[in-house]
Amino acid sequence: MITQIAIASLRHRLGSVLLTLFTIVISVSLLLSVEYVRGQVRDSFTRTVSGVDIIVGAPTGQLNLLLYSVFRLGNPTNGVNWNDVAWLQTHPQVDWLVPLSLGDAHKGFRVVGTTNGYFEHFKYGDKQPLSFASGGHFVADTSAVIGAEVATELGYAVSDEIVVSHGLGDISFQHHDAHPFTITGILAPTGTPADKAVYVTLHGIESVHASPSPGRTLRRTAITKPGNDDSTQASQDDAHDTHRHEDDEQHHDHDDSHEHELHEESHTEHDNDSATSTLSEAQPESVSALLLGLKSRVAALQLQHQINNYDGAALLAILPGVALKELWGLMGNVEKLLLGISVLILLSSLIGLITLLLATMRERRQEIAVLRAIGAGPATILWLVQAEALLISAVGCVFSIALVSAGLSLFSEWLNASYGLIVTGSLFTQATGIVIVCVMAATWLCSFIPAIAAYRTALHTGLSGR
Amino acid sequence: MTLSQETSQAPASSDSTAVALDKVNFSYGRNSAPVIDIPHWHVNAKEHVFVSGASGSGKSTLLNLITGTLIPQQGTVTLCGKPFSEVSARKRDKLRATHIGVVFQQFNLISYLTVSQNIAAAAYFADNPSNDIDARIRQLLAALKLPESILRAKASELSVGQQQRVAIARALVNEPELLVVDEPTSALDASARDIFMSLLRENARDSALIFVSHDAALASHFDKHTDIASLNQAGATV
Ligand SMILES: Nc1ncnc2c1ncn2[C@@H]1O[C@H](COP(=O)(O)OP(=O)(O)OP(=O)(O)O)[C@@H](O)[C@H]1O
Ligand SMILES: [Mg+2]
Repeated sequence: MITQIAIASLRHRLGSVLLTLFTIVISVSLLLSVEYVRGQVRDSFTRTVSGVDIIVGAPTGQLNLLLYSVFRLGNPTNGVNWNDVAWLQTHPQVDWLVPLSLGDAHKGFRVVGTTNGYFEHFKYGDKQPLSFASGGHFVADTSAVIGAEVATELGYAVSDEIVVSHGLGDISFQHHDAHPFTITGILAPTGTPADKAVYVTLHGIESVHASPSPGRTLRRTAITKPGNDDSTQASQDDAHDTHRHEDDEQHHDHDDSHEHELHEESHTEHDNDSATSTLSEAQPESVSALLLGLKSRVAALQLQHQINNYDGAALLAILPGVALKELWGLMGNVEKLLLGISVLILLSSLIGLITLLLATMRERRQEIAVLRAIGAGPATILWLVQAEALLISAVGCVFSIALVSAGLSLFSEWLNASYGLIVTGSLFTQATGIVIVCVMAATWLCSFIPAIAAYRTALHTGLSGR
Repeated sequence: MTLSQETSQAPASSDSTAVALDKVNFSYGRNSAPVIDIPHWHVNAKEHVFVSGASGSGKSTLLNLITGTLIPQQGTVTLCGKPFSEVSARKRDKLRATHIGVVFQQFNLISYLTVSQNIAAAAYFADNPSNDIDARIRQLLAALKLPESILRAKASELSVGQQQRVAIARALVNEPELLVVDEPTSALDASARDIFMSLLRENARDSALIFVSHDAALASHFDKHTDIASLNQAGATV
């Protein structure tokens, strides 16, 4: 009956109720979207990398290393000398090792020099491996694999040729048409920075660096156990396109039996195909970062300690999970600010709601007198006013959820395209539930202001409504 | 309570007394003069009493005291054997809902509710089971010569005369022991007033009725006629 009266009372004041409802829908929608996107950002954040136990790089800072190795943001400050990390290949705890060579770009997309091991070992989200939407991994030194977004944005397909420019500028004046890469594979979308990268072989990136920019030289060394160095110091500083084939052949004859599995990866599918395969095992003088997978994650802390205290050179080893948390801690402040603003907007719309209800108090004296006469206690009248406030908010929440759901399904593509945000799942998450509960609780608390006014009116109003 | 129950008049037994006031003293402010000061007054069950008095003489205040909406600073108001002063505010509201029907001068109904909702609300607060309410409402409308079609109408869409008749229906829906009516006809024209008075008397046969008005001409419709001044020592000094 109370609800019935409350509904009738609200319908009676439909005009002002609708306006108030409108402000509540706007503010709750805002709050829901912010909270939702916040959750999604955090998700896609922590989804960026998984299955990598340790990242090794030059000693910068753990955030810096994380940012350039995983998020492909910022510039890698220094490379790590290969000889300083070669020992990790044979470390008993190390399961696999993927080198990354960064610092170049293709039409605004970051270029990552790496090995086929990257496609096998790098994981994102809930330990999901990378997969190819079309094509496959590197088959030659001039192979390139592109992320899903690169493919869609630049309209590339497998077997297209691309050119990598030296440096990170969007438009580089140093196009090296002499060293085109051929796309061999396109990765399936992941919703992570992996979509926005062009992957080339380590050898390929050396060629880019080698010719016209004297800053970086390359020394080609086969990735072998340290003891085998002698067999692979073949071609060095003058590596040019013309040399590549020689190198490749040289390495194909190489005996794999004692090689680290890193080689095996690059070889597995091409050993029987050596006539056409021209994928070398060359390694650069230095790499930007190394991704390590361990045989047992338990050893991560211990190995991190070991790397950080390595005598041979200054190295930095980070645990991605820990670094992600720290990074999120920083980013979280911006999110919190957004959330704070939305909460304030919600508050102002609730104040609007209170004002609406307070404004009706004068005209409600009569109504309160009638209710008192038929035996409604002041507590009932208090509750009636609160019920009205809660009804408005509840309807507002329902509309907001509908609005935000519709908005998300409309804009999910755009969000993905513009911000790499993969909007997954529905809005019916725990976070949404918490927002709704908070909105209703806030409404209930705020409604005490007009409700107590009504209560006092009820106490002091005689039967005639005076 | 320090007040003894002994009164100058023979106390009526509770089952035959609808309402009784003993040494009731009431004023609106702590420092203002008492508006009501009644040594003793009671209305028997099914008795219809007309209370006349000039404007501002305290008639509405008296009714507020009888219904428990106002509490006297001194004295006891006893409704159907239950003294208001001894029960909680919540119980008092419940007593009013179940035992008293109220009709005031105007604006008796909640304007945005339908006639049916207005009457059902009174049943709701009296915990009257809603399943027989519909039949009861129809019966009352018929008795008050109102068409059933107005059930779905908003109270604000009725004429003042219809509103007052619906107010009687609302007041009677719980079959109260006492009906309290405050100048219900002052907004009505002469013919509407006569219809109202006769419908009220007919339908209130099973209840005690306290009817207050400044219009002494209405006294002819009642068993008993009292002037508030004769009850009220305070009124005598105003
Ligand atoms: N809520 C109130 N606060 C203070 N004084 C009040 C209040 N209600 C009534 N009074 C005063 O109490 C006195 C009696 O008022 P009451 O309304 O009982 O008179 P009444 O006989 O019903 O008058 P009327 O015939 O005009 O309805 C008046 O002097 C009035 O000013
Ligand atoms: Mg009055």
